[in-house]
Amino acid sequence: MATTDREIDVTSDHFDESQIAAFVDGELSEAERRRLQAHVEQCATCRAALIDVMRTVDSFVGVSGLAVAKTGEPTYKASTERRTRVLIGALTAAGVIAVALLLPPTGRRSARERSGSNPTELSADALPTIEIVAPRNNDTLPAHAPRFRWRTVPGIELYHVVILQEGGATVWSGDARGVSEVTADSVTLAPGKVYFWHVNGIRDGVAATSRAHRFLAK
Amino acid sequence: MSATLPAVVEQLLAAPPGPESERAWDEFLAAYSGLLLHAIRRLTSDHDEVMDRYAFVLDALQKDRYARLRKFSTVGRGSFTTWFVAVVRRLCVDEHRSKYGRPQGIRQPTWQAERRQLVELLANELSLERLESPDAAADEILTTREAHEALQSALARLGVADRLLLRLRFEDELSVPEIARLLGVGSAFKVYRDINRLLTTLRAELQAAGIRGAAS
Repeated sequence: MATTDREIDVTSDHFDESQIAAFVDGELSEAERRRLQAHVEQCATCRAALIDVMRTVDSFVGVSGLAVAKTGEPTYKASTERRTRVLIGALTAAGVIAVALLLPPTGRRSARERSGSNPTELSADALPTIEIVAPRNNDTLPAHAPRFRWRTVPGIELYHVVILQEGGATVWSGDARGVSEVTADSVTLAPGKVYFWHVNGIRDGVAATSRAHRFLAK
Repeated sequence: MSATLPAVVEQLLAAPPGPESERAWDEFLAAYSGLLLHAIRRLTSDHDEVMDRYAFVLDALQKDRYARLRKFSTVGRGSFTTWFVAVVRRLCVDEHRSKYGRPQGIRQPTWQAERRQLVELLANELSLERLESPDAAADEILTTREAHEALQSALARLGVADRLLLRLRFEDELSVPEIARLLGVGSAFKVYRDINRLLTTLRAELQAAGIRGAAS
């Protein structure tokens, strides 16, 4: 193990977006992973980028699952001036952008508002975590009638499972009461495509949530 | 290697200029605006800044007939979602710098500075004696410095993967499940065991070097 200090070439050795994505999604060869790990061990900038991207992707799927599973009043309002700027910037997509602007800013706020719970109690970070059993990140699953399993949380009887496409559109959602698994009988996923899933525990609103897990339909 | 593009992105890139391209852009925004806004909001909570960056990113994505998006099909790795988030993050950082410049007075930490920070964090974790007040006796200060130097040497003897594990846990303060997720380790329990193994190894090396306070 080398013990001599050296300056890192922080200008040219930083990860590009493809390397970041491949690292976060676990799609590096062993040799490439070792090489990139050696850089990221010494480069706080790239480490921060990896962590940010991972957390953004994971938290988005959870947020969008909440947003789609329980539609509620929009909570995000942009100023008229800014909205106009955005509309000018994407002239032909006015209706789409208006909807996008009305998406809740964070999973915390949307869950809080939808549940009607005390705002100081409910935040995505404070919710108990539901542990996923299967499928876990990067597992493969049959495209037809995929089955999802998790560990129950004491005090929670009702669970709501959501399957999402990349980009956040809901493919399927369903409930399970008193059990810790559900089979999406009515859905056939596209083989070879990537999906995400997560599960919420429902008791007076969202009382527990899992991290989103990515899987491949086969 | 050509990465797989989601259908809505493929349609956007394939659409000829004109109404078809505009419709495809609408559909792309319908599919990805949520993710785009979520990624931007993780960097700033001020909604005027969010909207400024949203407009900036849309402009950047549309430039040269979606040249940035086309890159994914030629050099893209990982899923499009993850790659897209990385692109948006980079664009937001660029937009911030174009407005405010690079942070003043903050230099890029060198590897030496980072390693010192990790040493200090680990010294705390291992309950090594730290430099106390200026009134500390000279021999106590010397002992603490020796402990830090011994810890620094022990860290240098670890493998890259082991040091990365410690950095993610103690410098970046990732949770153990997050570390498992980022490093592609199947089980958070393995990460727990590895971290405990490393701390045990470091303690043993420090004890062997006669450093006080390193007992578990």
